[in-house]
Order: sequence, then structure tokens, then C-alpha cells
Amino acid sequence: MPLSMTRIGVGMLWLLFFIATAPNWERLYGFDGVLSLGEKDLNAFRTISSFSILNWTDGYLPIAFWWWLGVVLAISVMLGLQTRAATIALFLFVSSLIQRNTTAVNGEELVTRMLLFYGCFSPWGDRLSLDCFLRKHFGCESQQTPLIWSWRMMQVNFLLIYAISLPYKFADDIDWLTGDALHWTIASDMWWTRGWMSELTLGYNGVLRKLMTWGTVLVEGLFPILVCFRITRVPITLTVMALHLSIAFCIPGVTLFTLSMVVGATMLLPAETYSQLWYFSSKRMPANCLTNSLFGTH
Amino acid sequence: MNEPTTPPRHQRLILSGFVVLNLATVGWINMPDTVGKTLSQWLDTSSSPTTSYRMKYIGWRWQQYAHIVGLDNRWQMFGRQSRFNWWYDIRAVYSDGRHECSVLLPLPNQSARSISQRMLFDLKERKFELNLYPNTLAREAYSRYLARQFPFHNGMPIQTIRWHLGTEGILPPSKAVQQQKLHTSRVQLFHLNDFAMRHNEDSEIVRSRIKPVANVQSKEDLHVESECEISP
Repeated sequence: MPLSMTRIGVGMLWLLFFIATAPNWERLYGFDGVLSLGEKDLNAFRTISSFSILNWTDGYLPIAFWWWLGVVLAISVMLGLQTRAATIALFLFVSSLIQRNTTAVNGEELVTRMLLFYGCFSPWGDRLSLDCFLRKHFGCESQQTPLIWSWRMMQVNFLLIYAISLPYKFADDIDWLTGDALHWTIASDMWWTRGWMSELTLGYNGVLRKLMTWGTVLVEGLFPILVCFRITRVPITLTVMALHLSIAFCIPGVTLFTLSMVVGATMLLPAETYSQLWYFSSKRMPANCLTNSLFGTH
Repeated sequence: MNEPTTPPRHQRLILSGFVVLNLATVGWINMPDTVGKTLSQWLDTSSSPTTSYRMKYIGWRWQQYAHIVGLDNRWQMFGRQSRFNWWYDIRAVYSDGRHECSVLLPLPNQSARSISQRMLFDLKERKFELNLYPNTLAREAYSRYLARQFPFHNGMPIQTIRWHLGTEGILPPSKAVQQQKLHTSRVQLFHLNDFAMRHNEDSEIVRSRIKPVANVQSKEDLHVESECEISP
């Protein structure tokens, strides 16, 4: 089930991505867009990789076709319809988008492409999917339990993002250690809405800012470790999700990226947590059972 | 629950190899640059040119694999934070020989936006501008796109896409707390590039970032939509 939740999340994110880029689709990825393939003297291929279906099919297919195809693939992955084929196709499509215009690339494409790569080998369409429903309906359900190596790879690679980025944070900017890093984010016009919640860094003699910076470092640093232990897995995963959701709320420029990290974290929650959250939300379970499930003692 | 079926030995070996390859790829790609340079120097000094070449060729092929499967990302979440605010001021210069007009182009980050544009449709714009920052070639490509989009103004053909870079200092944390404000009161405008759009001329790339072309108190003072003048 956790893997299926990740699949649904990836599909939803890509659907949101296509909706968000719809007005700028031709500008960003079109033949005559911001990195035009027609500017021979400029040699745009110095900034565009040749591994892109969009480049190969230019002149044969309109760019709007690719937008519609992307929407269909994202919905197929989300609903779990022809999941394996849809995942492979979406992976190739996402890679093509990334390599068509490298100047438009943000973190969300990179994180979800990694999830899609492992998703090509994974059984993430075996639960909560139309494929599963149709198999049950027509009585041709597989008797074999699939191998989970690709799921483990996805988890390890996702955790490596935190394990790798934290030392780089310290190496690149001493303010992550001194507790001042978030000051620059809050004062930034590029990422933050100007003047919004400036008290976070100006107030309380800067103590709140330091607590927030160190809190971020602590959560990101402990996540790859604490997620390995049954008792701490759920609390730390939910904390990381909450951290990313708060970033998505505060920093509009990275919303899709931080949501992709939330989607990635869904594969680390145990299946029982989803079941118990589901029962709790439908008011069939008392609150103390939920508490037990969150801290792994149930 | 069904028991997982164990695959045959050769399949397990291939799977294990694939797992190790991908994990090693992520590790290799995310090594600090100094490790790669040191390794390259060590290969050059301690082995024959043929061996050194072969090893580097394998490394290059490995990077190519990472690129194709999408594992070539360097994971650096919000590492270095900028110490100043910056923005582009992108204008199109039109001229008919007698009159010259410099027009602020109606681009996402320099025009009025609706809530839906700010919250959803412009999600890529900030990162797009950030990715243009170190890339003059991409700025020139974008300039040509803008010239195609806005070829005329009041009957005058486009001559140049002019890029300026506006900057505003951010006060360091301790000073910001003392003064209870986030930014310095000095906004500067630097000339970044002029990309000529006439086909018989090469683009002129101007770098004059040392001397600011404008010093004002606030960002709004720089926001002039259009400036026109008559040539003598």
C-alpha cells in the first residue's frame, strides 16, 4: 500500500505540473520557445541534450500533443491503469521535458523522475489501482507476491537525498550551523513574499530564526537514521512531511518540489499506518489505537 | 499473503548488480568535486596514459548512464543562500532611425499578475530566472524568443533586447534585528547584456557590472514602463 500511495502522489503531482505549465507550455518546451531549435547559429544544443523525444518529433507532432499525452499518462499512473506501461512512458516523457529545456528544470522533476525510474521496475500498481480492480473483477489475480527490491531502492535513494544534501548545506553556507540560514530565505524576494512574517527572523532577538534553522537541520539529519527504527519511523516521517508542507505553504517558488518530497516520504510509512488512518478518519477506531499505530507499538 | 517467489540465481545476480550500480552511481555523482579532481590527478601520475585514458573513459560512460536514467542529480537542497535580492529588468529597444523607445516587456516577473498566476501558473518563473543567471547563452536564446514575441512597437522594429540586473542588499541577521528591517536602503541597477536583434549584426555582450548605472532608494523608483527619445 505505501508504494501505491507514492504512485498516486506522483501521478497527482504531474497532473498538477501539467495544469500549472499549460499557459507556458509552448513558451517553455515549444520548437520556437525560449530555447529555440531553429536558432542554428546560436547552437541551442549546447544547452539542450539530444535525449529528448520532443526534439526528435519536432515538425511532425504539435507541442500541444505532448501536453495532452502527459496529462493522460499522469492520470493513468495516478489511477493505476496499465500502470507499468504508463510509468515507463511517463518516465521517458519526464526525461524528455528535463532535457528539452534545462533552464526550466526545478527539483520536482528531478525527484519524481527518480521515483518513476524505480517505479518502472516496482509493483506499485498492485494495490489501490484500476489494474488491481480489473484483475479481481475478471478473476485473474496473480498468485505471486512481487519482489520489493525496487521499492527498497526507491526508499534508499530518497533517503540519500537528505543524507547527501545536509553535509553540502554545512559546506556551502556556515549559517546553517550558526542558525542564521533562514534569515536569508525570509529576506529574499525571490523565494519569500516580501515582508511576510518578517517577525520570524526580526523578532525575539533572532532566537526563533535560530530554532527554526536548527530544527530543519535536525529533522533532515535525523530522518535517514530514525526512519530505520520501527518505533521512530512514523513520527519522523510525519515530521518531515509537516516540514515540507510548511515550506510549500511559505515559499511558493518551490511548492511542487517540496510536495514531491512529501510524496516521496509516503513510501516510508508502514501499511498499517495507512489502514489505521483510514479507519480513524471513517470514525471506526478509537483515538488511542491511532496513537499506538503512530508510535509503532500497536 | 503469498510468499515471495525467489528468482533463479542468475537473475538474483543481475538484480544485485543493478542495485549496486545505481547506488554507486548516486554516490559517485554526489562526490565533492575535489574528490574527482584528486582521483584524476592520481590516475595521471601513477598509471600509464593508456590505463588513465581507459579509466576516464569508463567514468565518462558511467556519467552518461547516470544522465540517461536520471540519476545524475546533485542533491543540494537550499544550500547557499543569496546575500542580496536581485531581479532582471528586461527591455526591448525599438527604433525607426529617428525615434528610439525602450519598453519594459510584460514578462511574468516584471508585470502585474493575477492571484492564479502568482500561486499556480508562474511556479516555474523564479527558478527559470535563477537558471538564466549564470548562463549567457540561455539569456541570448531567451532574448531572441522575446524579439520574436514583441517584434514591433508603434510601428518601430526591434533593435536590441537590453538586460539590466537590479540588486538590493539584505542586512546581516544581527544588524537586521538591531535596525528591525531586512533590507538596505540602496537599490542598484547594473547593465548586464545588450543582445542586438538585427540579423546582420552580432550580439554585443556587455558586462559592466562593476559600475552601477542607477542608484535609488527603492525598487519602485526603477520601474519605468517605457522611455522614448528622439535622436538628434
